Amino acid sequence: MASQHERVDRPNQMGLDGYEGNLNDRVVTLPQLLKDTGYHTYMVGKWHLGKEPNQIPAARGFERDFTLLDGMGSYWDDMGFSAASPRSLYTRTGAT
Amino acid sequence: MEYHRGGNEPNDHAPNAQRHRLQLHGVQVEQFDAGIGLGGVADVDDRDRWLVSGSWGLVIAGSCGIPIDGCRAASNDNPFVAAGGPEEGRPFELRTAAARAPVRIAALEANAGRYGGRDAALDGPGKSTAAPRRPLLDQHGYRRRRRGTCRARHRPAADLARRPNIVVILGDDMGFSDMGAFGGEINTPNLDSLAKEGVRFANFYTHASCSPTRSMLLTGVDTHINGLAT
Repeated sequence: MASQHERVDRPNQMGLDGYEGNLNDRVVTLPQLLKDTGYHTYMVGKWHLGKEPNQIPAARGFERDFTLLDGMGSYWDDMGFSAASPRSLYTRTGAT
Repeated sequence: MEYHRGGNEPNDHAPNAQRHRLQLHGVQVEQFDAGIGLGGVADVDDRDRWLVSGSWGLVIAGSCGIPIDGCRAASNDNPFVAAGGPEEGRPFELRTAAARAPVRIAALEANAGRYGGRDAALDGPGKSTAAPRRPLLDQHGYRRRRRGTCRARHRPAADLARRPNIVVILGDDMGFSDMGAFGGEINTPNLDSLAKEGVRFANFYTHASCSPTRSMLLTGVDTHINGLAT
């Protein structure tokens, strides 16, 4: 999924474990652990760790969120910084 | 108190610091440095002594060589001496420190079962004495998370009420010295007051760019493991 991002992997890195470009499914997040122990978990702000439905904050341990999914987006005019994501993309509790 | 950037430079007031090679009952100090602050409470006593109860357990650290029984300090000049951790099977050893700061130690001890270490936090005081399980290693020799075993059990509501609220504020791509509390020229009175009332880390490890930083803060593992390698 690295191609979703404004990242440039070197040829020798492409497709390797650890270079997915998003939080991979081999790690557990702190909010997930906290949620499992009974904490309520919230976040607001930048994510930029994956945009697929199984990669967004709602899928990685946050009960509620208001999240700018991309990196380098503007909060003021909803304009992304690069052509890869011309519009700032937000989610609110998992809904785009 | 002196502060310096992350890395291997010796601390200003502990020039013989060997903290990076020090083992705290099998827990690397580096891990301690990166691990405290998440759900822990901490207290800075004075220039020479830190009393910290963090996610790795209660740790006593100082640059004045306070001898703590059971501590594997490299020398008396070592800036970090520490009590045992949950993995040691005896949560904390505080005998020497208790003589120096009995009230504070007693308060931290009382909290240790709630805040000190993952096992202690889950099982409560006195139940974390099980022998540590052999760590799972991946093909590179890194410790791997045991799937499922680190998931906490649900606790009764009465226990939940005693837990601290945890708020993490991450300044993305912020420079170490941007804040006033760390010598920056920018006026940051609110952040400075947080720093004044809390703990500023004298030594820490982070990643220089944004996504790897957030991924490591969220997962506690290196960015080359969690998928955001660069």
